Amino acid sequence: MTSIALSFPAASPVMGTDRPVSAEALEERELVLSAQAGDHTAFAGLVHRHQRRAYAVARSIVLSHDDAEDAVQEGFLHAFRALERFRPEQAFGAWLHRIVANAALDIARRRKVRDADELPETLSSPHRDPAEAGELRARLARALNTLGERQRAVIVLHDVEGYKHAEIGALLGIPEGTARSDLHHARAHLRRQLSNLRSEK
Amino acid sequence: MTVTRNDNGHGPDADPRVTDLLRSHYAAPQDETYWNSLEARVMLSVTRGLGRISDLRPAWWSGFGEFRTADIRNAGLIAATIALVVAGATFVREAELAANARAMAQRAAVESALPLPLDDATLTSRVRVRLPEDAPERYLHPLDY
Repeated sequence: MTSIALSFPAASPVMGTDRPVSAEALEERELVLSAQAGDHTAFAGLVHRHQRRAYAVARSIVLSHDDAEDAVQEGFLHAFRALERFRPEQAFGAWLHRIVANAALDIARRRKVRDADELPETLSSPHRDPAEAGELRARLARALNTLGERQRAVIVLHDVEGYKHAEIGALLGIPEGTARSDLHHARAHLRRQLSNLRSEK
Repeated sequence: MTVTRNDNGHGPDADPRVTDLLRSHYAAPQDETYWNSLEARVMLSVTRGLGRISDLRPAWWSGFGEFRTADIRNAGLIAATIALVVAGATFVREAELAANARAMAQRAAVESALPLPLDDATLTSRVRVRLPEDAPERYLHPLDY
């Protein structure tokens, strides 16, 4: 069985506790403090560190790559504006990812209201999303589109990004049990929708 | 370091085939230039017309976006508890006032139905004749006077 190799740093330790503080965490804390003092380069360092994870979080919530990019930009902008209120002893990643998740949820809601009919087209953008190539993936896209917004986010965050139920709950602002139940339903839904995958392949 | 954070998409109710498809579908861009470009765009949007961080004052509503559902639920529970206590205290106070008013009305009704103690009122209002100091002597020995 393969495991998920995580390229992002472990959660920053809580200052004032006995937990060891990694050099990475200390470096990040310095970046946060400098950014809070008005250093744009330090903030760019934080963007560089967290943009991939932020993208993954956003992508799990919205239906297209473009919307995920927008959510990442909005999320970082919100984070920058709220940076003064961030307490450096918190985990910056967790704080940022929650903001990005909120931005993505906003975009998903706006998109749903504005142009729900165009979603399948958005999904099949070949340039932005290479996974749209085959019929199989088109079917997956359609199946994902029939999933509820929250269930889709939960299954992607769990099965693709490797988040735990509690982390997903914190990101999406839902109880851990709801994340667990959403995952179960989303898996069952996709399994039903793609039940003949094996016979086709 | 390789870390398995959850069941790795291979739990009892997961279909590994679907999980693999999902991973392929949601694969992030691998090209480093893409990430450099995204970083540049993020920084452009951050710096464009925003000035220094210390100059920024967040809008009053911006904080709501950071509330978690649990925070809102807790605040709601506290507010509901306070409202309940206030409503309960108000209800008890109103009930006491109503009970007092009822008692006063009943007493007034009873008193209005009973005859007034007019004799006592007359007696108390009458001007008493002041008797001379030797009056008792005259009552006892009237023939001496």
